[in-house]
Amino acid sequence: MMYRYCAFFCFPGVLLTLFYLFSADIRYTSVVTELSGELYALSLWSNAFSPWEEDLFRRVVHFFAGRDPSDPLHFAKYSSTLSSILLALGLGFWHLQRGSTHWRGAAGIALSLCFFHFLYGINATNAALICWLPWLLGSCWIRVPLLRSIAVGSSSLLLVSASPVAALLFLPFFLGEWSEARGSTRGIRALGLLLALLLVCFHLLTSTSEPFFPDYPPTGHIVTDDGVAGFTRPLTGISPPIPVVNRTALKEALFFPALFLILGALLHGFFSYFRSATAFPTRGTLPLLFLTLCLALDVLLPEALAMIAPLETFRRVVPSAFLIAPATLVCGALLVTASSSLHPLILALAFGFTMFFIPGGRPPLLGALASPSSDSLVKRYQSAKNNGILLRNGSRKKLDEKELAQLRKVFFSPSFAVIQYYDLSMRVLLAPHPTHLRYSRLRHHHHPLPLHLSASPNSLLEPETLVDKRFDTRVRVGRGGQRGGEFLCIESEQAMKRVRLTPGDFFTDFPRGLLVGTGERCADKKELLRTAKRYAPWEGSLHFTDKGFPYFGHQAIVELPLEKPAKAILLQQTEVAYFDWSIAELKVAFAKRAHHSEEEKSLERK
Amino acid sequence: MGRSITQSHRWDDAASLPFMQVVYCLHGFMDHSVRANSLLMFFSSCRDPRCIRHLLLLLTGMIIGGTLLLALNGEISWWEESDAPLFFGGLVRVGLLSLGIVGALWGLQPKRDELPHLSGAALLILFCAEWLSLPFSLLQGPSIRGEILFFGFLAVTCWPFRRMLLPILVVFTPFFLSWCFFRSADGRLLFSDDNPTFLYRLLLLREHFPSIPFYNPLWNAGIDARDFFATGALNGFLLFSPLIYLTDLLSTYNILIILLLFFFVPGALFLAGRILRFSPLTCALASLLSLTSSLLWYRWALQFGTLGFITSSALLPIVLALGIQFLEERHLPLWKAALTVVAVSLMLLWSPSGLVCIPLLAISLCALPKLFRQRWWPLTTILILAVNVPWITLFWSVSNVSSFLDTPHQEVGEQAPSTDELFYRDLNQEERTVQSSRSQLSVGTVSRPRFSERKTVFKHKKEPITFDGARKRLREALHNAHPLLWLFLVPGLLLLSGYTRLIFTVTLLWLLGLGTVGALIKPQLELDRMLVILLSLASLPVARAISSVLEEKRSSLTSFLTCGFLIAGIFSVGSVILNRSVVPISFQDEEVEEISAAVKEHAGEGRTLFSGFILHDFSGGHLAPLPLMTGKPILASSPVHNLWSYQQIFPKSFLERESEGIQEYLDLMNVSLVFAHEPKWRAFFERQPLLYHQVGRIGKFSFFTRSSSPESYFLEGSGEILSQSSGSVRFRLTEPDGVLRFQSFPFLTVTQEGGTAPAGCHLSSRQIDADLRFVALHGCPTEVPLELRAVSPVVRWKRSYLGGGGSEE
Repeated sequence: MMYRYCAFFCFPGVLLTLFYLFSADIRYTSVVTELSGELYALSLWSNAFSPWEEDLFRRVVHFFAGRDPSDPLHFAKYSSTLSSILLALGLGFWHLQRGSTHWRGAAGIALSLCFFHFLYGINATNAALICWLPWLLGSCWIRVPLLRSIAVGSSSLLLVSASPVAALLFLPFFLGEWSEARGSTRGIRALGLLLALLLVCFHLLTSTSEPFFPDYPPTGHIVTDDGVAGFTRPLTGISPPIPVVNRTALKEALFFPALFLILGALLHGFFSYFRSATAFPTRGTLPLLFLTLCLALDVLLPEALAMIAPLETFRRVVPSAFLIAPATLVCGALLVTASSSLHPLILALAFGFTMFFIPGGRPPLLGALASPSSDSLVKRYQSAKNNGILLRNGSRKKLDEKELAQLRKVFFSPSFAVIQYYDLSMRVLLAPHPTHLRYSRLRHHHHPLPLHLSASPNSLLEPETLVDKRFDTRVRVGRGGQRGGEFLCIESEQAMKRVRLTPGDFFTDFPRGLLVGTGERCADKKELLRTAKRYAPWEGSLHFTDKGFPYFGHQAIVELPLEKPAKAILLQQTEVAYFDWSIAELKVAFAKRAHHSEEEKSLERK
Repeated sequence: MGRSITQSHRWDDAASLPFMQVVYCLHGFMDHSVRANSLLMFFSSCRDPRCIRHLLLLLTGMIIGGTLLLALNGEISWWEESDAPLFFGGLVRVGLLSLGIVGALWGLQPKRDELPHLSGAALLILFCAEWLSLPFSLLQGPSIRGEILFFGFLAVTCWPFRRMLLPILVVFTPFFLSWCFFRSADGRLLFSDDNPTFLYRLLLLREHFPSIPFYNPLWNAGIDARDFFATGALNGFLLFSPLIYLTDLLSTYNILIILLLFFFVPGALFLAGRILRFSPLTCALASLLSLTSSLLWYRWALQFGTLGFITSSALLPIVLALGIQFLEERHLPLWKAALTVVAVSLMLLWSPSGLVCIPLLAISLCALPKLFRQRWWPLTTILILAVNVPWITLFWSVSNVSSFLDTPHQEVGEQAPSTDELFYRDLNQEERTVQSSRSQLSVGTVSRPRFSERKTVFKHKKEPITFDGARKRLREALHNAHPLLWLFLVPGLLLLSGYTRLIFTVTLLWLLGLGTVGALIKPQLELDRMLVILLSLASLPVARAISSVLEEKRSSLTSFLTCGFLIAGIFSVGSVILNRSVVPISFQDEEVEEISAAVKEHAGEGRTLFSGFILHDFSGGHLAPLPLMTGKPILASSPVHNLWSYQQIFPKSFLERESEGIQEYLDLMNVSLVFAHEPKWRAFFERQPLLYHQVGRIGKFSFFTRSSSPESYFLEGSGEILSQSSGSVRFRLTEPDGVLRFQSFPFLTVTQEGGTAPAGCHLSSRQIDADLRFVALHGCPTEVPLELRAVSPVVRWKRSYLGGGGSEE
């Protein structure tokens, strides 16, 4: 018996460790950066807001000590791993409490944990919240009343201290338990529920501190547009100046796990309905079904409707919940708890199907790894392996304290999504960013224009229109609509260092995705494409706030600084959209003849 | 395990309502014990005449909702504001629909307890319509639909415990809103619009009450501080006098706001309900609704800071309830009579509130014999008159109320150019818009400075009295309102009885008339506020209707939507307080402290002048409290929000002479420090470095010291200014005659320091300019401390009504 107990605790942990060993890239998918020899890793795939704000140990320290730990970075670095181990142990504990000591159960746990980490990477937010859930569930099964009360109380406290959002997870279970209670225990349970609610309310009201938000302008953005007009603000709690949760990426990433969970829940319900004579839903299943339904409404519905679904509503109503995405939390919790009910083989098949055999070739993890320069999971892995690290300190010089502080601020800010999108290097992040950029004056009466333009067949290309300083005239690139493959190539005798395309009054006619190549001649299109950078979907131009935080500018305006001055710039549209790709105005900035601008010189000196 | 028999019975009972049919069916499908016959029961119950009747009622309610939206909006679009309209409703169509509704109601003959379900069905239409997505809606859609569903679901889930949970919600709400306010304030003082002015008035009242009105030399070289009457500052002052006297109001002003808005207002509604003998549940609901009555309510309270109005509006239900009790009860207890005196007196301190009570007075006159039978009625009436007549008459006289009511209106866009524009042309000043937040309500653009020949411009422009104009005002108010308050109002009124129903109905109709048509006739009275009062007052009858829904054994579609809207309203108000709505609320920022410090440091003994037109440029509020913050005299276009068009601080005659004239004016007023926040004025002072030395810049305010200033408050004669306070000027003369650089008023007197008897001086006015008169002294004692101050209020009253001493301005 004893060895089984040990196995239940150890097997998931061992498998998790193996998983870590064999998938080193996955662990640090979202960001890996090297600062003075130290490695920092975080996953921020659905949330542009800093996850360590919701970090397990930071919250616990804050909850019990009344103050924050001195260096949140250290917590961010280690706590997510520790919370994963806690989660594994908790699942083992839960299973043992339920009397399940079969190897199959341990395998199920291990599989679900692997899947959990594969899906989320090291996501401190989710891991920290979910790691206490199995402890709470397991505590409910303890037979000794006093011990049960203590265990339930302490695990609830830990769960809530990890984040107030955890209330979302345990309240349905409490309500389910309470509704089942009869007679004298009902009053006691009611009191318990009231106390729990009071605890949550107290915690919500006292522990939501104002996080740091950079000085983004209201016109900027850092996450993909969710398609709903305006910016939904929370009714309580903290409201960031611009949206921070990438709803588009989230829905894309969670679509298949949610579908799998719903199908699983339906099948489970169907079989249990016919298998047992007891009433459906059975005890404890109703909250799970409720959460699954909430997840489905959040992930599967169009955003205009998902906005009024329970999870998004919860996000707006509960203080501090607006900064995270409850869907990820619910999905994680359901995946973990699913391991208790499903056969490991079914789990493995379902996970495998979800991860690798999805039509369209866009597995959910790609949401986590979303980067313009990689169009497949495999490619992304290769990229990570080839580069070793995703964000490099090119000069390998040790950064001074000031630079380090600036980098830390920028990394651990909502701007991280922008850094990831543009693959920004430390050099760029530390460089001074001019707020006013000078473009060369191109006028329509200049004959000939200092540019040679070529575009894909059937384009309505009138070069003069591009420089007539009128926003109500346009050039259409391609046949009409966006079908992928439309291109515009700009060639000049003098090397260019920046280009800006404005759709003017035709603000819907911006390219949905871009491939940008630079070289010497437009005629060598293949050569230009070979080294091209991909920006798909096109989010917006790169801008920096006065304090050096990157953000996306207006999506309709394409403004691209080039890494090296080039005589030919190829812009190829890659996506499919109903709207044309139109350009009302074109501007270019030429590099100085000496090839080195003052800005570049100063950077080199640095 | 199957459901218990009791539970099954409960569900069987629930089958009478259409919504519950669906729930029953779904639940039955899930429940093993009843699933076999659930569908059969559902369809069989639909053949039940009761079920058909409920369906017809539901349909009628939905048509009522649709017709109301058509009548108010002229069209119905679903869901989003940008959606194309589905229905258009002209008068004819609305009339036909109304006839249909009347016919349906005639045929259905709904019982009293069925009336709220009509409103519940109308709520369903409202839920789906774009009404919730309009920008000035209290419930800010489209996302608010999620909260409505969420809380509706929660309420229906906890339906058996509603009697326990509702009191918790009622207690929780004020604390939650207070938390939102503290969070929003983040330790800063509320500073929106008139809030600093109100704070200033309270501080002045603390110093001078009951000697009001008085002479305040710290503002604009001396003003008549008399606006305590017109603005209702007195009721707030009296109500919160312990807090005002015992604490530092500059630190505790936010607490006063919280106490007033989140505790006093719901408390007053609760008390009014209890006086009317409503059930505690109804009273609790009324107090909850009063907290979420409308966006306009918080706009007037938090953005505009009209706290006198808020206090009076909160007291009005108590006054009406007590009035009804006088008419209904045979022997009213003494405490209620005493409460009547207090409540009426406090309410009347915001004078337009008297208008609201006209229907009550009219009905009371009709039932005069009944009133005479009341033991305490004569004494109560006498006391009310004794307390209020003196100050009302004084207010009437000193504030020139009659001339205010007869003031001609400025039609926007009809103003003639004035001579001071010449100066502005020289400065290349472009036509500007006064960035008044209040102007968002109706009038946005006003023109540039003008002086003596101008007509008075008010917040609202005078409009022709049309049905469309009245409807527009009503629509604007209802957009801002909590939908429950107007959708459940008619059922609520019908559920009342006796004098309560009569007085509430007539008063609400009267308020509707005042707020829509009255506002068009007399825009200077800002009667549109009556609609805000209407919505607050409607809380009581609406609470009666909602409580009848909550008292039902079973939850229904009506209870689902009603609870959803009710709780979503609380969170929406929280969001408004957290500054996440179209109503901006500003708090004191660092700029205020910095400007105060700069004035203290650089003003010296002279005055500080704010050039141009200053309105909400002082951290979103008015400059009013600056003299008390700095202890220095200030000059600006106006300390309070009494100007609705651009008005320059420099008089026309001085502006015409440009730099020389301005220099002369600054000398005349003994200005030592000049602030400029408008770009052209900044440029003007910067261009003359020999005359104005720029000391620094705080936000958009540049401030300059003058290279030469008279450094004397004596235009003629000589002496010494010993001190200036908010109520007097202490000085000493070395010659018996002199002219002080302080504005002259007929109610001024000079006394020896510490005494009230005249010092033997003869006071007269020295006309400096069309709008500027200085105090001239003749035959005063020399080398003794003297005090320039206002005569006592009693003397002013006597002078106004009994003669002897000249009339007030």
